Amino acid sequence: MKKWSEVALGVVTSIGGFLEVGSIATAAQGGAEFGFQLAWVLLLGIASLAFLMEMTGRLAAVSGRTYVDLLRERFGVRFFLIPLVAVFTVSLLVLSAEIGGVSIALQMATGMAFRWWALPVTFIAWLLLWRGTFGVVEQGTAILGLVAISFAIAALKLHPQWTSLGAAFIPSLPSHDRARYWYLAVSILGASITPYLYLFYSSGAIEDKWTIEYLGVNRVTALLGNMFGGVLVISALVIAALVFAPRHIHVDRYEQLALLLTSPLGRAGFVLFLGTLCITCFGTTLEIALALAYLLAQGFGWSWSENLKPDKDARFSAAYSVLLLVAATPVLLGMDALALTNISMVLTAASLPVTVVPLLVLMNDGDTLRRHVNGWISNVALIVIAVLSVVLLFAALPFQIAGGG
Amino acid sequence: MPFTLPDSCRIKGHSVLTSLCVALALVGCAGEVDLAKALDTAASWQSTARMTAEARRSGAITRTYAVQIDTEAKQALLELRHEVASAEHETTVGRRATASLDSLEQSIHALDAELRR
Repeated sequence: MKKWSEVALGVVTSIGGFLEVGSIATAAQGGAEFGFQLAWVLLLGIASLAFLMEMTGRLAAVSGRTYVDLLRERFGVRFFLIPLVAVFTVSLLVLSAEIGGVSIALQMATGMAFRWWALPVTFIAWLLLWRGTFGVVEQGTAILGLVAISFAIAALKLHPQWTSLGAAFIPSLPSHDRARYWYLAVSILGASITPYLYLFYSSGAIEDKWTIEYLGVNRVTALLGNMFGGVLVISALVIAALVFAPRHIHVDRYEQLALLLTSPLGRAGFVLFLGTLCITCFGTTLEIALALAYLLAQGFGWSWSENLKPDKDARFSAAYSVLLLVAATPVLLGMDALALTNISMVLTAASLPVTVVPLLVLMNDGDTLRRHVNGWISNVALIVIAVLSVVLLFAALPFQIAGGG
Repeated sequence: MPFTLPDSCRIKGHSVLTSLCVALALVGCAGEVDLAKALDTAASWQSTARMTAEARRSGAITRTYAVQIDTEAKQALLELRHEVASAEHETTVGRRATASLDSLEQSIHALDAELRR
């Protein structure tokens, strides 16, 4: 019974946790400029993330160690520094973007400039991490994040043409502005397959004391959670395609996004949009701050757990405290939040190989996973994701320059 | 000639070089499409201002929020006027750009009027 309640919680966490500033912004930009056409990229991102989460969760449940721990141990400290620096840098940028997302939502609600919200938001996030436990962070944001379901309701109310939407899940080339199309495709993939998500998931499995008995829970959570969460991101794209695209509205500023739900849901839509942006970005802020602290703690062998009192894992607690403050700085300085989001999503896509390629080795290591090593389906999926990640590494920069303007 | 695999360093070197060449070529092309992009941006802000005015009229959004869109639209207009003025273009294209910016300005005026109500 406890296990299945964890499945429900995992799915609910994914529903609220999947939508955040990066996925909302990139899906809305894609829908506004190319209609349903980029839906296949979202599907690819969602499926890739589901595989990666299932694998890192399985690795943690069977070995009792996190992916980061095993990465350092199997490949050595010198190699480990590469993913450490890459994931750390891009996740810090994403953390800034999330703090920016909460601040922008508060600006739209109150009229007070977003930069003034950066420190209060950061302080509340820090306080929750300092005083709360992993369960509080996980369950609190999961339940509040259910407000994101409003995106699915809004999409349904707009009565999309299901055949056109279905056809968009088959990859196709754009009839105009190819550079922008591929730039948005890279951004959407960066927002979907974010390394902090599966690193956080792997650490969460250890925090929740998963064992080999939880492999079923892991599989169902990774699959259903991403499926339901994915539906919400696809909904964001559908809404933008039906509300913004016919009016030729391109998303140049975050402020434009709040109009998305007003067309199908009126005043309630406006309030729900602000609530969704604020809550989901805040939840993601907590998750990334923890994921970064986990990365450092596991990388350098410090004691770590969100369930311990801060004085029992001082370096871990100090890490998320300092990182939150550092991430708040660009927002405090008034940096363009949408530009920050787009750049961080593209760089995230470029950073994927350093965490995806080593996973291929670890998931086939019989000493670590015994009879739970990857089967052929998982291996084929992981090879495809690894190839995709290498393509993204070399494509990200040219597309950022050509289509990011 | 037998097929031989290049060593890993060459693969890396070639890929990075190709990637950089593509990036530089794309930067070179970027200047030519600036005016078309400015027209797109103007049309987008014109629709945003119109949609905001409609949403405000129906009570779907707060005045506080509508003011923010109004400010952003004015900022966009200012930047676009500067961009169009400094770009080299034919007379017909220039006229089209000016007309597009004038339409945006009218939509902003309509939003201003809605906000004064």
